[in-house]
Amino acid sequence: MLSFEKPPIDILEDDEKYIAIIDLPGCKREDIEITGDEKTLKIRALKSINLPGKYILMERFTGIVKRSIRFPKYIDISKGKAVYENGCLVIYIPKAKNQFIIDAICKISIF
Amino acid sequence: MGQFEDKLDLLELPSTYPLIPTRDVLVFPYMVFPLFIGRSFSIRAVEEALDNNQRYIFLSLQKDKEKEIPTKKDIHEIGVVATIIRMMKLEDNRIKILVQGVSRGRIKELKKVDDYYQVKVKIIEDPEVEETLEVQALKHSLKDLLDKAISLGKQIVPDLVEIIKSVEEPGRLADLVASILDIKAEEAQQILEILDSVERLRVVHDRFLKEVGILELQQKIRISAKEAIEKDQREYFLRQQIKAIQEELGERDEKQEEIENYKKKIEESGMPDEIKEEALKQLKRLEKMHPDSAEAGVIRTYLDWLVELPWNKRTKDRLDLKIAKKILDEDHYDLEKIKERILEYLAVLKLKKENSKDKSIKGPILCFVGPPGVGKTSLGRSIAKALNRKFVRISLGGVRDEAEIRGHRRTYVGAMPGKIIQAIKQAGTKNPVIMLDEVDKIGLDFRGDPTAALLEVLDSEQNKEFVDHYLGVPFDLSEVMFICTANRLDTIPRPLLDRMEVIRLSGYSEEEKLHIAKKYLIPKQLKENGLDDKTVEFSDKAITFLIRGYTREAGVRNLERQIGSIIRKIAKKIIETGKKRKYKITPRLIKKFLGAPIYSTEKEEKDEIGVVTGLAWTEVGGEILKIEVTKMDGKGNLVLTGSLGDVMKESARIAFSYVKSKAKELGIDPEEFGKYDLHIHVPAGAIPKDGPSAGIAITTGTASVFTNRPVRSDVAMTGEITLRGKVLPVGGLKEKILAAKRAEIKTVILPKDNKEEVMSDLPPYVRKSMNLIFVDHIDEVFKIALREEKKEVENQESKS
Repeated sequence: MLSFEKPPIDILEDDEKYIAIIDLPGCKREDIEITGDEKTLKIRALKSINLPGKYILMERFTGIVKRSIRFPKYIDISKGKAVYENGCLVIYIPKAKNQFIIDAICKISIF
Repeated sequence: MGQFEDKLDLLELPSTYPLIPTRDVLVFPYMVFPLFIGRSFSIRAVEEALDNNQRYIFLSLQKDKEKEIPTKKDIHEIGVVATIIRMMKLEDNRIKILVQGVSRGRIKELKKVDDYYQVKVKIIEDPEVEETLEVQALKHSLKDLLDKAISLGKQIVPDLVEIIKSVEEPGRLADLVASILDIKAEEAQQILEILDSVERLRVVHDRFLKEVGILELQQKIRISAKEAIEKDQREYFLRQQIKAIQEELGERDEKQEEIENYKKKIEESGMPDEIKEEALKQLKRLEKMHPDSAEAGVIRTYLDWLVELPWNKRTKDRLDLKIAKKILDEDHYDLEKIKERILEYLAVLKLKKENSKDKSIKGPILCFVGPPGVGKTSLGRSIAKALNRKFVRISLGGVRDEAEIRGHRRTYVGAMPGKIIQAIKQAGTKNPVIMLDEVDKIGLDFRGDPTAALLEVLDSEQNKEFVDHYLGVPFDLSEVMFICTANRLDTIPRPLLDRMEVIRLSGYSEEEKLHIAKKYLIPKQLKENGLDDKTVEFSDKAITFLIRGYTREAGVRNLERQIGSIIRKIAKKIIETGKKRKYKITPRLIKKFLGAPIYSTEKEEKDEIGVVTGLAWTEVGGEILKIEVTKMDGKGNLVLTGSLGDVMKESARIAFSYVKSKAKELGIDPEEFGKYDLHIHVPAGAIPKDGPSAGIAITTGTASVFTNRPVRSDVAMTGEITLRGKVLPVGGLKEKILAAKRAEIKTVILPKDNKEEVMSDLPPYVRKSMNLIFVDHIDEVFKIALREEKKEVENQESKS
């Protein structure tokens, strides 16, 4: 409902896993949320770090950042890991060994 | 889902906002829009919004945009909560903000806090609506209209198009579409105030439909206008392309240009309508043809001829008789008869121009007959000059094809118009003086008779419509003045001769030649050789010496050549010595320059038996003939040699018979005739001779032989003889007398019947210097020409 932003993403893969790296500066760690299922990941974050005072220029985005990724192969989201560091969110998702369907939306906790 | 949703709660809309009253713009929810903020309370409102870290403001349209400081009643109740995405302070203290509408709101309370307006707002959420068929239809229709609007050229940001297409909620869709509508702020406000989202969708739809309709109409107008322009442009463009292609191929364009050119020329040529018609017909044919085809070439040449002929061009005749006479006199000595005739023609021309409406005057057809070098051709030229007309000369000598006069039919390759039309073209006027040189030397063979073709040309009744085979259209020759020249008349066919006014030019006498040389030839030659009369002077004696010793002619052509040769030698001398002194030409100098005289003027002949000086008329003037008669042992036969014609042979027989019949009177023994054969020879043997005029000479010679009386060599004679011994008149007397004079023979015996003619024709000084004896009967001739009888022995001695 409010304005939202799509942050840019890089995705890498090897035999084992996918690695996604997202620019997400200006967020508090607790304001970032990663959810997903057997094939997709959803990243949501709230950019809300602002300073009070008298502005003469305001360009930074304030609001919700949303992004979803759909992988070509099944993933095992339960084993996913994420690190937020230096304004970048890095997510490691192993590829699924067996095909299975996860009903529930899983969350990845961020370190 | 706890954590994140909690965070979102923080984003819940507050209830108070700083207010920015907008003018002329209305921001719908979800719409991103740049705003320029200038009024201080609005700037303060933005600062406040950013400072309190909420970044929300309330935008509401100001009813009266002129009002600088609005009050509550100046501001619409319903406005939009918006979030400031970006902000930038401009240099002129205004600020630029990028806002995005968030939600509708109704101002509940407005108050001034510090120096900005703060409003308490009730957020108006779009209620959930049922997806009725109508709503679905409206949504579809809107999206279709959007496509249509874009195809009709409406400018919408592509991202926005994507968003609109993905939006399903009717209220939101209505707001988004409303934001792209081309409407005034007031109208937008009305839409904004429709809180029922379905109703709003309906209104927006209708409004959008109207806009698309307008767009369609605009498009239609544009297209039809464009079509009208395009049609012209297209045609022009295609033409240009064709031109370019043809130019590339190297054809057509040149052709078109050529056709235009011909058209112009045809118009300008002033040709009569019927001929113009023919020309245009041919031009049309040319247009349809390949320009490189042989036929096209033929037509082109034909058209060239047509347009270049002087259909309507003439020179203005000089009608001043005095000037004309002056010009004629300047160029030619004497020739009074001809000059008179020209002046007569001019006089007629002048009278007719003054008195008659009929301006066409038939040109006379004159024929100058005379020996070479008497100035026939140059006379033609000066006649043209005197009349102020163009002069063209056509040489007919050796022409033997009718086509040369009248042209070839166009079907032949390399066909050309005849000489007449060529001459007209060369003259460039339709009233030139055309000289037909040497008409007496026209040949005749299987290709037709050129003289017959000339008949039409020279008939002033017919030549108004002279049709050249090549042109195929008539050309008016009636204004042309034709002058023919001939050396003799006997080879000219009668019908042709009949059409011409024959004017005879006889040869010049020595005095005349002297005069001509002094007045015309010498100045002319001096000029031609770059000298003047201050450098070279001919004495009369020298000229006479030149005439006598180096020329023997009726005209002055040789004389001119000799004078020229002397002058050239002097010119060379002047250059060699480098000194320009006066040269006086004397006979001695002439001898030095030209060698010994070619013609001896010394009279070496003695009076002899059987040698008579006859006079002949030839086409090159008069000539003296030494007729030889001799008798030898035989039986009274007559032998004639010297290429004699029938008439001359007959007059020889008459002579022989006459002498025989008058044997007694002449004191001849009649027996003699049986003992001897008579041989008459007229030199030079190779030249054919004919005519009766040697009659009395042969008779005298015959008598001389039989009577043994020598003939006086200083007596010349001419005249026809009859069997009764009468002397009949003959022609060409002036030339004959002049020939005798040239040969230094003083006494000339002539027929009495010619006396009048001779007296009027001959210049007085010639008449005075000669001893002209007019006789009626051969006896008188004998008396004059035969000396006393000589003894046979003496005679024999002299011969051995």
